[in-house]
Amino acid sequence: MSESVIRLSGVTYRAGRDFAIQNLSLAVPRGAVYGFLGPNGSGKTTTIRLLLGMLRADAGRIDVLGHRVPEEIHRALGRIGYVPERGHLWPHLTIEQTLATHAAFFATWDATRAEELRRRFDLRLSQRISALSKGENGKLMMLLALATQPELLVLDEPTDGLDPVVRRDVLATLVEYVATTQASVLISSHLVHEQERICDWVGVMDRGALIAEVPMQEFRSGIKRLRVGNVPAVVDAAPFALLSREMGVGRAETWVVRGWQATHAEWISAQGGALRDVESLDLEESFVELLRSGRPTEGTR
Amino acid sequence: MTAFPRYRALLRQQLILQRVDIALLTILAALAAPAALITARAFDTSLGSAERLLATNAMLAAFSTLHLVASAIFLVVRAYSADAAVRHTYAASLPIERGRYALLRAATGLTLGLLPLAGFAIGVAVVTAGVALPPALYAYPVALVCRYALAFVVTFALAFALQYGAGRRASRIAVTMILVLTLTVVFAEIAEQPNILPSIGRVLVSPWSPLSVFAAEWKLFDV
Repeated sequence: MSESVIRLSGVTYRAGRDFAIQNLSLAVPRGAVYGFLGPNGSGKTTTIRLLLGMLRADAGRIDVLGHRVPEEIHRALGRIGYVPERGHLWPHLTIEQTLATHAAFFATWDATRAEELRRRFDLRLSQRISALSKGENGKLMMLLALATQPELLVLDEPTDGLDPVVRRDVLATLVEYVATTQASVLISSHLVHEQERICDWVGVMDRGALIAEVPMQEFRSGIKRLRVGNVPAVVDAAPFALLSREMGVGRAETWVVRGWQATHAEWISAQGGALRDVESLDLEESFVELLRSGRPTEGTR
Repeated sequence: MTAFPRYRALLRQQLILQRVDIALLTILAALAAPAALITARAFDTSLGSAERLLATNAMLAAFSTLHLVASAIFLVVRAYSADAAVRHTYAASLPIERGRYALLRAATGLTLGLLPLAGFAIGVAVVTAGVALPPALYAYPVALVCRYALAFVVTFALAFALQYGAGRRASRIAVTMILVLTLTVVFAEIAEQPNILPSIGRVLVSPWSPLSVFAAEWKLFDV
């Protein structure tokens, strides 16, 4: 993996009795758009708060843009655009006052760009933050993040709850920024289709652990649904990972496998099986199958 | 990036947040000295002019102490609450060390405290200018305003240290302290034991303590 803008190594954090981040290691390559997937409550937001120094890890090491977290995070924050899961702006200020406050803290603030984005997002300077709709709030937070010209964008469910039009506006602006600046992005979401369009890396969290971290292409092409006849008796030595298997008619089964390559068909034949169909899964199906494979009691095996 | 634009931005943010509070505190502070003078006259008409002016002192001392304590606590707690309402996420996402952010918050709170102080000073000046002093009685407006300012700074510093040191637990700690003191007094009364509160008070305002500023005489008029 190339140089990482975010690197977590063996990070552990306990939040109450029921939830913990367990020995989490994760790396976001420079220039990557890293999709951080996971169901609600899987630990995505906690991980983001850890890497921004808002929470202190119990163990492990976190580096962001070459700075240790949390000790040196204030040095990195000037180069990071952050959009949190929930509105975090002072509600008594207007948009104009919010922009001025933000500008005072970021040396890289681009007022021209901020004005351009404000017009594009149709935000009125006199609007009070407390009176903004969810969509307007989302657009304003994205504006604040982008107008600081960050090297790294950390976006926590930036389009969650937004209507399709606003979501498209926000994502289009993000993609445009990344295309022109080569900035790195960590974008957390449970809206898998959205991630599929824009991400080139994907990390999947479940129950406080990272269960997959691969390039998007590999993730998308590596998980397949196979229909197999004359199922081999022994599949433990298969050159791919069997995520789930479902009984069919007779000795036929449907398998969901990870790490599939065309040459693996020969292995099935060699075991006496008959490969009848190979179907590519979209990201959402792959994501669901991956989660199911990590939860044996809920699987179909 | 220098600290001044950040200070100015936070000052404006807090001023917008607390403009009504600060306006009320300033008006009340401005009315303190005239109200004390009028009340002292109204309460006891048998007093001579010198005695009436001296009676103003006690009322002004009580009011100004209460006022400055309320102002200091209000300025600390409201600014902290604005950050706490958004889980401190915005403040924590700014590229500034937490200690420096807290210092900026302290600086903005103290700056805004100048407005009630100015109000108090105006009220004191008006009363001083409008009163005909009898022989051997003098007015000490500057000393009183300085005492008010000093006591405000001390109260603000204590409230700030408690709020930013203890975070969300600050109110619980403050309430617990008040409860303990109240219960101490109540039990002392019930058990007919000597009340230890005056002793605690004496320790708190002993000369080495910053709180001693409250113990000294708050007199606008004196011989």
